[in-house]
Amino acid sequence: MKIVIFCHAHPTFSKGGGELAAYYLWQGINSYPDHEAWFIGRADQRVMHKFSSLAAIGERDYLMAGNAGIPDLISTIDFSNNSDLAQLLKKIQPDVVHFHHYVHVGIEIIRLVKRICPDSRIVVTLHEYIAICMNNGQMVKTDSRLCHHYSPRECHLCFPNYSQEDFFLREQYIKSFFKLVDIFISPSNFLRDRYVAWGIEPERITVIENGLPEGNPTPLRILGDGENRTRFAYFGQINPYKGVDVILEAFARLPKDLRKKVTLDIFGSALEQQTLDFQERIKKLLKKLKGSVHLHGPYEPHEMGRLMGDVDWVVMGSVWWENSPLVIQEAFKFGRPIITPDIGGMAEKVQPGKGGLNYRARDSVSLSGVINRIIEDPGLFDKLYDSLPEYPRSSDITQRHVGIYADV
Amino acid sequence: MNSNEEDFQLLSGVPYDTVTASDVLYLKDAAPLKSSIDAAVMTEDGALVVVGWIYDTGKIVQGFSALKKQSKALRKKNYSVLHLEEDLDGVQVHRIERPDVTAAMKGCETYHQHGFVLVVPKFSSEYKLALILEDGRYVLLNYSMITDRSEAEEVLYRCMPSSGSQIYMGLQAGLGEDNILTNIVESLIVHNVQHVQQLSSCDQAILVEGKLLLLNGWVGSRYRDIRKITLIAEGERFDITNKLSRYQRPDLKSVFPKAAYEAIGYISAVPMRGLNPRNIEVQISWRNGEKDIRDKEVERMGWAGLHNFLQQHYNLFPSIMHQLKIACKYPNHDAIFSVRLEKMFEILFPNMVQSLPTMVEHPERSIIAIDKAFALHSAGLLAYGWMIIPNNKPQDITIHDEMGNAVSVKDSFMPLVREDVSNSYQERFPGVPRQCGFLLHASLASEPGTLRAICFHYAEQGDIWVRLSLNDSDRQGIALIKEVLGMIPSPDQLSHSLYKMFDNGLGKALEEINQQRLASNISSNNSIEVRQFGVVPEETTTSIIVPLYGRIDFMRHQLARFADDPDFRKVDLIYVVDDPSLIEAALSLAARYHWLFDIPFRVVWYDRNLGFAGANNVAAGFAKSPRLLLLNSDVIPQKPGWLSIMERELDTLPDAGAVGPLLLFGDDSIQHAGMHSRWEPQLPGFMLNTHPGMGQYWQGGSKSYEQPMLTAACLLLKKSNYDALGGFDEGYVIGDFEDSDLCLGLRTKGLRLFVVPEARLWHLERQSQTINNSLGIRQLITLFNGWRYLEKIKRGELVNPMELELDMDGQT
Repeated sequence: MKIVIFCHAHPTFSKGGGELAAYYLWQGINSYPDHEAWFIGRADQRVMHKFSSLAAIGERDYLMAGNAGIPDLISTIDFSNNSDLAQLLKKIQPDVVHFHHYVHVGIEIIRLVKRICPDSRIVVTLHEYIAICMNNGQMVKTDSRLCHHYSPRECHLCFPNYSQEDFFLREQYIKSFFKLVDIFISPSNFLRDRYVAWGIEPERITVIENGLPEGNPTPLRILGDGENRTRFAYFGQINPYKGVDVILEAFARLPKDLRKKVTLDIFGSALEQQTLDFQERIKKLLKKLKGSVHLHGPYEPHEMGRLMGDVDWVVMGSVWWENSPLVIQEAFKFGRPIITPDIGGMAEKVQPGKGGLNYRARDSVSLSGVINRIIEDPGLFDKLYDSLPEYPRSSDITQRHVGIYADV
Repeated sequence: MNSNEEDFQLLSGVPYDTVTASDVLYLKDAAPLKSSIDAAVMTEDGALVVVGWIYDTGKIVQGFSALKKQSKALRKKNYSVLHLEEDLDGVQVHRIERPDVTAAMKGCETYHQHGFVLVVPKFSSEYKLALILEDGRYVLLNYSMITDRSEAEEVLYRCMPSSGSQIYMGLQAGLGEDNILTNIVESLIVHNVQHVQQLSSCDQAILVEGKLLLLNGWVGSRYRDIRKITLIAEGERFDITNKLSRYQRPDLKSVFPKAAYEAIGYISAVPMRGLNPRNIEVQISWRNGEKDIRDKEVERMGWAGLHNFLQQHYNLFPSIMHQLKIACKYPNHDAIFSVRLEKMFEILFPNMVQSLPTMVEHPERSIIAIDKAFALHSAGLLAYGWMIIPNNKPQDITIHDEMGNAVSVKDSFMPLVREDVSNSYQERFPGVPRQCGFLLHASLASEPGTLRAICFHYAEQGDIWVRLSLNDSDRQGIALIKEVLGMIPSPDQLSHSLYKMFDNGLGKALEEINQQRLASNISSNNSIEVRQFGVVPEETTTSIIVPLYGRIDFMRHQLARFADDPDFRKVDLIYVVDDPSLIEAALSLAARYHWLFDIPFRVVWYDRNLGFAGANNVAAGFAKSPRLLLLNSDVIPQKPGWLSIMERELDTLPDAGAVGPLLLFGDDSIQHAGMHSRWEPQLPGFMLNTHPGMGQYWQGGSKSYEQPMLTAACLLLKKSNYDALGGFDEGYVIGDFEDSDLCLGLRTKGLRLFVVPEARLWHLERQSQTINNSLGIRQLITLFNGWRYLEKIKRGELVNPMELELDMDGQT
């Protein structure tokens, strides 16, 4: 089979979970002798050739120009029959075109591919809720409450400059392209359920978890005299959605004598890109937690295993639903129990007592209680460590994809 | 604080000039200056009150002074001088209208402020009153000082007819309201008014070219008290009671204090039919049986003389012109006189109009202002203004063209609420009604820049002339309609009389503006352009027309939904851009998306906004299928197949003239399931359209059913029927009621209209106009269209939707 994988970004420039999953998939398919896969990642115009919307950076590895906005998801690429992209697709004659996310490349590209290659099967992997929610696909209301279902009336209240009809039109427009899709893939049941509630037929969405390359667990660190397993780590961007502030608040709530017994290591960046208010809040909390919390700055995905060697627990703070955060699978892979909020994709992937614990989402008091429990009960770590689930391997995931490509 | 003693010291302590006796004249030596003191009264608290007049055509008098002969021992024959207005505090000089002085002096000026009231609060009787001349000399005035109260009363009583109320005002300012003398004068006025009821005068009798006698006079009585006015010339009697032009004489206010509205000037032009009188007599008979007879020597004038006279008497100009215009029409002038009269008219009338004000303000009597006058070419003119004429309505209102031809606009007079005016004049004119604004329409064809005068004919105030400034407006068509409607102040407060307002001429005027717009559209039809995107199928079943206005993205949304619908393999789709600002965007959107969606269509565009009706009519000219589907851009199909269902129903339902689908809002509640008419209680007179069941959940079946009317948001009909009706009626502005008009047109041909609930589309209309909430310009345009629609029904051009008897089977 010949498979073309479109992705909203290229891992060369952006190493988000979605891009990595798509890239691992591309590599995986190409390792099969009887399949060929092309990767086309959307890239910023600044890294493109001047007069071409395509740039090959490897034999089957491409960059593509274009940038669709979040509100209307309208493509900026050329829709004509003889565009650069049309010529490439006609040359490849793919059996399957797989869109790993539709954001940035734009929604109309689905119909464009169908026009150029009418016989290709179309597969779309859903990543978050962009089609459903204009607030960056978070399904969090603009006044920061969690949103439970799509409704143009309520969307209008979130974005008063857009009418109910605008939201209705956006929905119907996106659906007019989604109806050309043969199968949707969702990395979590939770995400699938949200899209089903929004109007995609249940039988058209299959759940396949994001996979990770094969690897070994990281050995546990050696404890000092009288020391317990109370070193925590946060991996990810420092922004309001990820809830680092919730985690810091939870630590700040600990009584002083308990606080001395714990540490929090933060691996991640982007604080300087946040609003001044948010920066101010984080800095204030960091000052209060001086000595207990350490800021390490950004990291590369391949460092993950090594960084986990120095910590005992991974903790998440996300204040939105999430989909299937890669950090959960990584914690499982490298052998660290994980503490997550009890909503959405996180609650689905981390069940209390099976390699991790939940706390009430957005509630630092609840998280503080969980940390307290960990300090008080040194045996808890071992219990969870022993019950860590398996992580999904890229090779298996690729296998499942290939199966789906053949079936549709 | 100041005691009387101190005040006298102050007076004597004032530094004064001294002049020699040779600089002081007596009045008889100061010709042509004339003056007289009617009363000089010293009040009990030492104030001097002087009432009199100065007839000073040379304007040489500078002010008042007081002179005192210096002690003989010191300097013989020298005077010490006080400039009253400069040297003393509290001195008041109040000017008074004294037309009687003008008349007595046989003067012909229109300025009558010869009289005065002088009040000097503390005056030493050692001084004599004098006038200061511009050459520095002084004129001693002759009077005898009265100190006795009853004597003062008697003298002042004699002043009442000429200047009663103004003396009162002077005393009020100089002595205060509670002063004894002020009170005396006040009571004299009241007494006087009851006595002087009937007074008249004939100021001029001018025989023009020996043919036409021009009479100028005034009557100091309420006009309705006059029974008859007769002109007697060489024994012949002319009843001129109803042949007068009356004009305001604010100067006569002084003659009839506190009853000023009763005084009025009149002009009459009477053909002499061969008579050549030296004297005439004007006889006024009052209803109470009394008579007043005035005689006047006749002046003779040629055309040049009349011309001069008019230049000097500008206030008489309009009335005389008006009379002359009437005189032009008298049949038995000799031919030469008629021609010359006509000629003079041609020259003078425009002059006269030019000199008229656009706002007239007679203090305490009346204010008339024209805010804006629209020249609407063959549609005539519209004028917005306001007026304050306490307790009075005009008998007639006439508008005059540059030749003086008059049309009465009394019937088109439409009062408007002007709270801004009534609020700001409340103090001056207590009880000014809120409805002091007005709107007038005259059918007189008017180009911008042409001269038009408007005359308000009042029973008691006489005629008030105002110029209408018909300025150049670069607006036309819809922009002009919007400007005209935008001038209507507080339309919210007029909702109960709006129909009448359109009926009173505004509707006709707007119709005419719209007709001009349509005419200019036809003449520039060659600017219509068409571009084909994709290949139109050879055989098409239906031409779909979608007008684009204001917003372009609907086109993308529709195409995304038309794509993959097999019905569209046989469709001739036409997008018509009815918004010049969207042409580029529409063409580039079409160019970008037509291949993607694989839908062929045409884009039709032109350089203007024709409105919904016009856009559809233009596009219908390009349609090549036997059926037309009129479709709004915000109507989005739910699923494929809807068009063939509608086609089938149109072809098979009995006598079907048009079919429409079930239209739903985004939440699937009903937007349109048929259209009815209703009377709107908040807008009496208007028959509006309503969508029964709107907002409800659809619970009807899928069987088609008949309705009185259908919306044109999605309407399928035979092209032959559309063409036979001439398409949409473009006489509706922008777009309302043309759909109900088209529906009633089909019904008038005996055809029936059906809703096809099997075909369902979304109609994302933001919200149907809520006319009542706030009457903006757009709502006023809708109501104009509503007025026009109902007029067509009343004239029988369309069947009355209220009188249809339908079997409403299937209707929700």
